[in-house]
Amino acid sequence: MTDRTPHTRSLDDALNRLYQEWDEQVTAPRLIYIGIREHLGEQERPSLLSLSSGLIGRATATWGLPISQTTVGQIAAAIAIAIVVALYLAFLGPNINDAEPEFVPIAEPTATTETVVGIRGSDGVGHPVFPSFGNGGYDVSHYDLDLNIDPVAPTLGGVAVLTMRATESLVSFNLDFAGPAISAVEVNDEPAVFIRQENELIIEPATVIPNGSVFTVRVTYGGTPEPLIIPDFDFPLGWTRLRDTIVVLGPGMAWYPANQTPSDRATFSMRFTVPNPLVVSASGILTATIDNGDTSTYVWELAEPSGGLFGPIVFTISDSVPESIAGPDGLAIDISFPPETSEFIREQFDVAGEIVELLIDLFGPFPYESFGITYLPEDHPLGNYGEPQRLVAFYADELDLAFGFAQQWFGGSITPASTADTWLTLGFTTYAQLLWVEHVDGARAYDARARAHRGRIGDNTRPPAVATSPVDILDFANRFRGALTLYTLRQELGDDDFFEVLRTFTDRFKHSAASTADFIAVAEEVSQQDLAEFFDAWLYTEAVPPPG
Amino acid sequence: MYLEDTAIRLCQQGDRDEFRIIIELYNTRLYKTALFTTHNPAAAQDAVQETFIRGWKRIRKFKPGTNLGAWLTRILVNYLIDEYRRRRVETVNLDSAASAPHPSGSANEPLLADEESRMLLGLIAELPIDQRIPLVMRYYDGMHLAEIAEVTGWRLGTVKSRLNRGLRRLREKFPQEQSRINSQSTVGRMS
Repeated sequence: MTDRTPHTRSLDDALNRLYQEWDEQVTAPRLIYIGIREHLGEQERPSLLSLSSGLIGRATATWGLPISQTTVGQIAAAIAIAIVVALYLAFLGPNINDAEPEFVPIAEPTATTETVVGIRGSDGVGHPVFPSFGNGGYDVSHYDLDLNIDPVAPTLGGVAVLTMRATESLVSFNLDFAGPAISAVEVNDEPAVFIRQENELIIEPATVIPNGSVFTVRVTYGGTPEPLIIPDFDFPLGWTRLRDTIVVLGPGMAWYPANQTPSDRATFSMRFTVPNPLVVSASGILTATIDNGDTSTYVWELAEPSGGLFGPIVFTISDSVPESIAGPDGLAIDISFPPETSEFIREQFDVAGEIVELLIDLFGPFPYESFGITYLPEDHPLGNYGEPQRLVAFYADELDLAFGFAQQWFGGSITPASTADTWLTLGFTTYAQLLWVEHVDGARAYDARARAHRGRIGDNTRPPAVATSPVDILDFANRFRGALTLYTLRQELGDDDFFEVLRTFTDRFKHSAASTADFIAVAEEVSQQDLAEFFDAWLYTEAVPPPG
Repeated sequence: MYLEDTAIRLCQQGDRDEFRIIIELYNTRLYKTALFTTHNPAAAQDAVQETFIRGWKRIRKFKPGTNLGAWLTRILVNYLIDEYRRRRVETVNLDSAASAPHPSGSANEPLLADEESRMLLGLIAELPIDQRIPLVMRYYDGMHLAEIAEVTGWRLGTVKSRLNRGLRRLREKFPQEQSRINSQSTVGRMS
């Protein structure tokens, strides 16, 4: 037996040992697809050989048909192609392999290969007006946002941790994000590769995320917050500076990485750290205020699963200090006024409790355990703006308050499933104004206001349940024709059935997304009537139906 | 092979995202071939990336049912030859010639524990690229000469002569260096 010590090793043995040892030590760096994807370029067309083969195949098939179904031209073309190919093979054939590797199968690869069993999550979920909103392949259950904000600089930055469940095995996935620069992304505490393309954040984790698994995504970001511009909207969303206040409203992806779609609802924990003496008022419940010396941290929790094409979080940064007022049935309501707010304006909010009480009576239980109002004496094209447990009241008029409070049911708790369903928010909140008018001034005032709406919209509008552009969300069709749809439905069904429809709808779709079809189904179920013709005329036809 | 066959078919139909599957399947193999040939991790990464880009562009020409790994390796080999025919491959220090940290986590521990292997790697680094390629395929991939010819597209005689030239140069220096290492270790034991 030979003692093969290193001293006597042959070159062959040494080479084998070298590559074996090296192979064991080296790990191939992962070539990140999204890094190479943009460089892939256009594919080259098949060579003359393969192209001609296809043509020959087709020509041969043609010859197989009865002669009456072919043309002389087709036959001539096939013959011509065959000649060209024959010449090509005769003169160029031997060189084909220089340009074109063609192999017979040889030994299987000996190196280790990595098998992929995942897909790339989709970058949208099919919203016709906002096709890039929302993403596929997962569901977010919780957002944990810890942000430092300096409204003067201005800067906004921190960490967003999303808890998600994969609904497919994912090689990569997208989030919607239009916020400041990202410095790091980690998936399950492992660094992940990411790129940003417009408002899409594409993340490729180090390993495939198995279908059904719960995983976390940690995004660290910071920089100058910018307003979110949506084409066709003539005003900015997201970070908006008013005179002495910052208001952040509209799609949440403006300031945190999100799955911006109504179907993906999640709870939120938010820590906002701002310079003293500024105060942050947000959606949810204020659970703690921590004084850090120069700054304070406001901890807000939104415990009800929320989501939407817009929102679901709105927050303001101002020097307004919240005051508590008594709401109906023990509902805690707080209101923040800028310090210089006049007594006259403050008194306008005295009616808040009464409005909420009326809406509870007509719409059903208030969908949250508390509610906050931030009054900002500014003009804003969105009007009073509500998200779960927070109303940013730009206008103090009681009709505007009724409009804003109704958003807690329609828009906060129930979000439209798509842009074609946004009349379920604006139509209902506009109708809430009519209900308040009826409550205060009686049925004649209610009818008169409805007639005024009818006069506003004319004889034709966009069908409310057919939206094709972002501006449709805020148009007269959604607001006034939507409200008139409910006004007329009440005439059709009578008060008992009508309000039972509303209460059934708010209960059944509490804290979830609903479509127009869902509402129609509830109306037909409660009333035991076929309402197809009614809703077709009001929601799906341009011509506005004549007064009933 | 279902995954690969499906990916090829979809790529040939222009589905760019399916190419991710092919990258995942062949990245490791191509990278190691490129690294063992260039002895330079950055150059190896560039070569693999360029191979995949060229592979994508030509994927419609690939004949389904034949060996995709060999087809991609040929693209890689052609790239390496084109890239380094007229210039020397800038090899890097042996112990940094790994893309991943040493499993021990010690920065001072050499990549290859065996000193003779490290010496041999240094000798291979002095060979021109067209001699390193058949060497890697023969001793790392375990290919026969005919298979190397198949993958590289070189004639069998060319493969034979390039491999032999490389081995001859190694045989000239290897025993010398081997003796040097042995004498050093003897001195080490005595002192």
